[in-house]
Amino acid sequence: MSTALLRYRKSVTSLSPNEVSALRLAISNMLSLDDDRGYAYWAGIHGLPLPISCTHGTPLFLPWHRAYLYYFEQYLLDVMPDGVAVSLPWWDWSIQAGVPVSYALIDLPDGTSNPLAAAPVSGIPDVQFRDENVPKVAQTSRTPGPTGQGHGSAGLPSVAEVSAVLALQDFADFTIQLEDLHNRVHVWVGGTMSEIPVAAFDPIFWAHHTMIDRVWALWQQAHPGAGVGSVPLDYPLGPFPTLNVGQTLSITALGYQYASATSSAAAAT
Amino acid sequence: MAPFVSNPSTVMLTAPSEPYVRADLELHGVDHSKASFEGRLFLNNPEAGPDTPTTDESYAGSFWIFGHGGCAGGEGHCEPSRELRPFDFRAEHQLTPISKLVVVTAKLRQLVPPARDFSVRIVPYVRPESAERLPSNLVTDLLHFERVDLLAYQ
Repeated sequence: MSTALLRYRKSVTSLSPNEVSALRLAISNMLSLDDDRGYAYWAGIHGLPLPISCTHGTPLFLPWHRAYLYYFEQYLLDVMPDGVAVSLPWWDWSIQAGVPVSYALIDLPDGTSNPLAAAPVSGIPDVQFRDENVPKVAQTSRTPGPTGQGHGSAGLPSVAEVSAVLALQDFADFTIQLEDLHNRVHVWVGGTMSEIPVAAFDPIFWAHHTMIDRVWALWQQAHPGAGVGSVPLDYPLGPFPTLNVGQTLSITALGYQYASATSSAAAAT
Repeated sequence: MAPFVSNPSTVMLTAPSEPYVRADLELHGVDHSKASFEGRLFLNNPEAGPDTPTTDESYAGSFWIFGHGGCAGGEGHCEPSRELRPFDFRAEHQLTPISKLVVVTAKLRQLVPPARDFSVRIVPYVRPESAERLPSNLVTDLLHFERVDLLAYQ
């Protein structure tokens, strides 16, 4: 019987060049699949095509997105060659550096397109783009806000704001305030990311949500035994048939952990 | 495509008469069916609008709405049902109005004496880069809510 090892999710800025390459390979391989193992299918779970399945503005926000990341990561693992590891990295926007270089670079040194910079928006029937909802686009785009300190509400949430949320004692208080930071980052990235129906098609979506999931995990560490307020633990998390709310409460039971330290690494392109 | 048109709203509240360690403005029944936007809160500044900077002394904080982006379905698809039928075990409608919370402790203490009435001006703001690419119905008449509560913790 083999020993099951936990996957360690790391900061985007701590990934080695090889780890960035592995992530790009995983995303590229998922992009090449046009069935229910593929990138478009999983991006479409969040918003369009209908039904829009994401959960916002309720205590299910954190459990639902944890289950979503879990499933997406499993399909990333499926498309990797034997012996090549991959896990979802987190984008720590609180350091105010903006979109990480590894996600911002349009073209890679070998002349190919960077699959972390943009992705096709596909698999959505034309009939679901009407004159009065989000416009149809072929590719994701971003219009990031200002970077660095001192931009107030126009900038990204700060370390102090994340710390203030982590210091909250009550889950209901914590989730509503963390979700607000989450919304602010979606608005900051702009473009596709600022619109629920297509946000998950942008590859930065996964790194942003991994950061949100990490903040929840840190809060859970500081509040052992904390649940999710009044939500029943057996509440099913559709469309993820094998997970309910209770099953999202332990990330080690889901097979991953967050690296506790971020070591420096050569800038990955 | 049309420019963003703000529809700010003003509500009147009363500051706590007793000392407090934390004060929250809670918005209930907030609509999130259209574009994503920032809701800026200004205290005792009923003229505040989208051009009022967040460095203004009256600015107390913001909340952010991650918008549903309009309706991709047919007629009635995005209208939350008013009543839940018995034995209807489906999940809540996606567009059920939500609650938002902004902690305003320091600014409330600074600007409003105890037990004094004060106004809260709520100004929706859409980034111009976002407004430009969206149909006009998604970026106009954005702000709808049922009520605002002031919650003070002693």
